[in-house]
Amino acid sequence: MDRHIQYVHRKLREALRQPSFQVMLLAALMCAVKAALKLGIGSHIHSPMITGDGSHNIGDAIEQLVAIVAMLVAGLPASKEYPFGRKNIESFASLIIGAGLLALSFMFVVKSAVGLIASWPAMDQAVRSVIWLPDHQPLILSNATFPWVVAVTAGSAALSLLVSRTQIRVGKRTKNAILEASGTEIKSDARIEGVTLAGVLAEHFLHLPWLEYPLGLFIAYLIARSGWELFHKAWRVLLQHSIGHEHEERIRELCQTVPGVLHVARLKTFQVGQMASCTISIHSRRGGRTNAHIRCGIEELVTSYLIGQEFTECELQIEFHRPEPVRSRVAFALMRKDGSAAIAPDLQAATHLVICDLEDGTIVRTKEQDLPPDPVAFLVRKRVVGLYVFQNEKQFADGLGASNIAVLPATSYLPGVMGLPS
Amino acid sequence: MLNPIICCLYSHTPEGDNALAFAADLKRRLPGSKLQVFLCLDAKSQELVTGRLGSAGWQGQLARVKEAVENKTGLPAGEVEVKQILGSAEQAQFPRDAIVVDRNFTRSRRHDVAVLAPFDETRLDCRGEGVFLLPFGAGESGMHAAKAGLGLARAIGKKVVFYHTTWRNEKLVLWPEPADHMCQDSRAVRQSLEAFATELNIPFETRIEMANDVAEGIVRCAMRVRANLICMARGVKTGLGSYVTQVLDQSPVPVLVAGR
Repeated sequence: MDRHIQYVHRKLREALRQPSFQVMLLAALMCAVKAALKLGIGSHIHSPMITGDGSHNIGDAIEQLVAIVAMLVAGLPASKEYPFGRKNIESFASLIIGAGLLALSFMFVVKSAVGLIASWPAMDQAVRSVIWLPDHQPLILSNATFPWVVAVTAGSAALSLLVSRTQIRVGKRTKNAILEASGTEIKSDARIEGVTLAGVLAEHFLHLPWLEYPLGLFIAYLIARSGWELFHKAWRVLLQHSIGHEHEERIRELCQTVPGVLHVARLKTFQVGQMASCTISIHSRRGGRTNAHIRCGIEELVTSYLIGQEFTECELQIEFHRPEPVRSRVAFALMRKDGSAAIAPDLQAATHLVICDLEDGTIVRTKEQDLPPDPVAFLVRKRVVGLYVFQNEKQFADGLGASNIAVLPATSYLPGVMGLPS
Repeated sequence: MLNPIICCLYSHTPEGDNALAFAADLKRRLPGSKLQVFLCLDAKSQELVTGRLGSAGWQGQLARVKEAVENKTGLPAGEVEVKQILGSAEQAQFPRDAIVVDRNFTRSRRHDVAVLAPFDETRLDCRGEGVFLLPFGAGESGMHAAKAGLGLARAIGKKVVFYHTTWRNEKLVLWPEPADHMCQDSRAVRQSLEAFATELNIPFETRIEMANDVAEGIVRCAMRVRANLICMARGVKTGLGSYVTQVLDQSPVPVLVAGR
C-alpha cells in the first residue's frame, strides 16, 4: 500500500508540472464556476433550462476530476493481482457520471413538461388528476436579471469553446486520449450553452416566456444523449464487450494480408480503459521461427491500426495452430520390374499396390504390398476411396463400380511426379 | 529480364499446384514471358511403360500433363509449353534467364539458375500490393541479386527497398544512426545499388538497421515493409551458414535466389 501512496504522491508532483494535467485542472475549475453561477441564477429566475445546463456542468466538473484521478490510477503499473493494470477505473467513473446525467435529464424533462403544460390550465388540471407533478414555478426574467443571465450564458459558451480548443490541441500534441475526449465533451457543452443563450435572447426580445420549456426539453435531450454515450461505452468496457464488429473484421482482414497466414481461426477482443486487448488464433502450416516473423508482421499491422482508432494502446496475444488436415486414403496401382517402377495402366498390369494416407492432398504415409489375389476386396478392406492408374480409367471402371472405389486418372506414370517417394 | 522464361517442375501434389499457380501468375505479369513446365523422366520407368504401352505411354502422359496445366493455370495452350526431359531436375538444362519456381529446388546444388520459393503464396500480390526487398551486405552478392531483382521489379512495376543490417562499430558508440556504422565496402555497394535503381528509373528506399541477427532482420524488415518478394544471391565465398539458406528456412515471404 505504501508503495502505491508513494507512487500517487510522486505522480501528482509530476502531473502538476505537465501541461495536460494543468489543462484538465483548468477545465474542472471552469466547470465548477460555471455550475455555481448557472445554478444560482437559474434557481433565482426559476429557469429549468439554465438550471439544467448548470447541473450538466457539475457532471462535467466531476468528470474532469475523475479523469485526473483516472489518469493517475490508470498509470499504476500492472501487477500479479492486476495483470491489465487499473485502466478500467475510468470506465467506473464514466458509468456513474453517465447514470447521473441520465437522471438529471429526466428531472429537466419533468420540469420543462410541467412548465409547458402550465400554459394550458385545463390540461394542467387534467394531467395532475392522473399523475403527481411537481409545482410549477413561473419564469422570472426581468430587465434587472436579463443582463446577468446573458453575461453568464454567453460568457460560459465562450469559455467552453476556448478551453475545449486548448484541451484538444494539448491532447493531440501529448497524445493524451483522455484529454482529447474531454475537450470534445466540453465542445459539445458549448453547443448546449449556445442553445441556452439563444433561448434567453428569444424569450426576452420576442416576449415568449413559454419558449423556455421546449428549449429546456431540447437541452434535457442533449444531456441524456451525452449521459447515454458515457454510460453505454463504460458498460461495454466493464462487461468486456468486444471492441466492435467493424474493428474485428478489419483485424481479420489485416491478418490475412500477412504472408504465411492461412486464416484467422478465432478472434476475441475486449477493452480495458483505452487499451484494446486481442487474442488471435492463426492457422499456419509453418513453425518455429517463421511463425515468430508472422507474429511480428501481424503485431505491426494490427497495432498501427488500433492506435489509429480510438485506442491509446493495445495488447495482442497471438497463438499459432496447424489446421486440422482433411484426411483420406488412396492407392496406386504400381508395376515394378528390375528395380524400376511406374504407375500401372490397370490392375491386370500392376504388380504392387501402394496404400497412401493423404493429409490435405499430400501423401504422408505409404505402404507397398504385392498385388493380392483379390485386389478390389483388399482395397475395400483398407478403406481406400480412390485408385490411381495411368490409362483410360473407363476401361475397368465397372470392375470397381460395386466397391464404391473411384478410379482416378494419374497424369503421369512417374511415381515421384505423383508425390510417391522415389 | 525483358522476356524471362518462367519454369516450373510438374508435380501432382498440393505443393506442385501452388508453385504452378505462382509461376502462372508471374507469367501473366511479365508480358512477353513464357511458361515452361518440365516433366523429369526416369529412363527405367520410361522403358517399363514403353514396353507395356509403346509410345502411347509418354505421348499420353504429355497430353494429360498439358491438360492438367491448362486447367490449373487457366492459361491457353499456346502460352504454356510442357517439356519432357530425361533425368532429374538437378540435370535439367534450363534456358538462360529462367526463373524456376519451386520450393524444393532451392535446396539443390544448382546455382546457375534463378530459383523462386513461393512457400504458401499462390500469387505475387495475394496479400496485397507490396514491394521487393533487396538485402545487401559488403560483398558482391547484393549487386548480383539486384541485377535479377531490379529487372523483375521494373518489368512488374514494383518499388524496391534496399536493406542492410550492420554490425555496431564500437568506436562510434555514441552515434545512434545505423548508417554511420556501415563499413566502407557496404557503403560502396549501397551507392552502386542506388545508382543502378536510379538508372533503371525504379522507385526505391534504403533501410539500414543494426539487427541482432542478419536473417531475422531481413525477414522482419520484409514483414514490416509488406514485401511481396525477397531477392537474394548466394555469396561465392560463403561456406557454412549462408544467409540465403537461413532466410529460405525462416521466411513466409516468397524468396528469389538469383542464379550465377
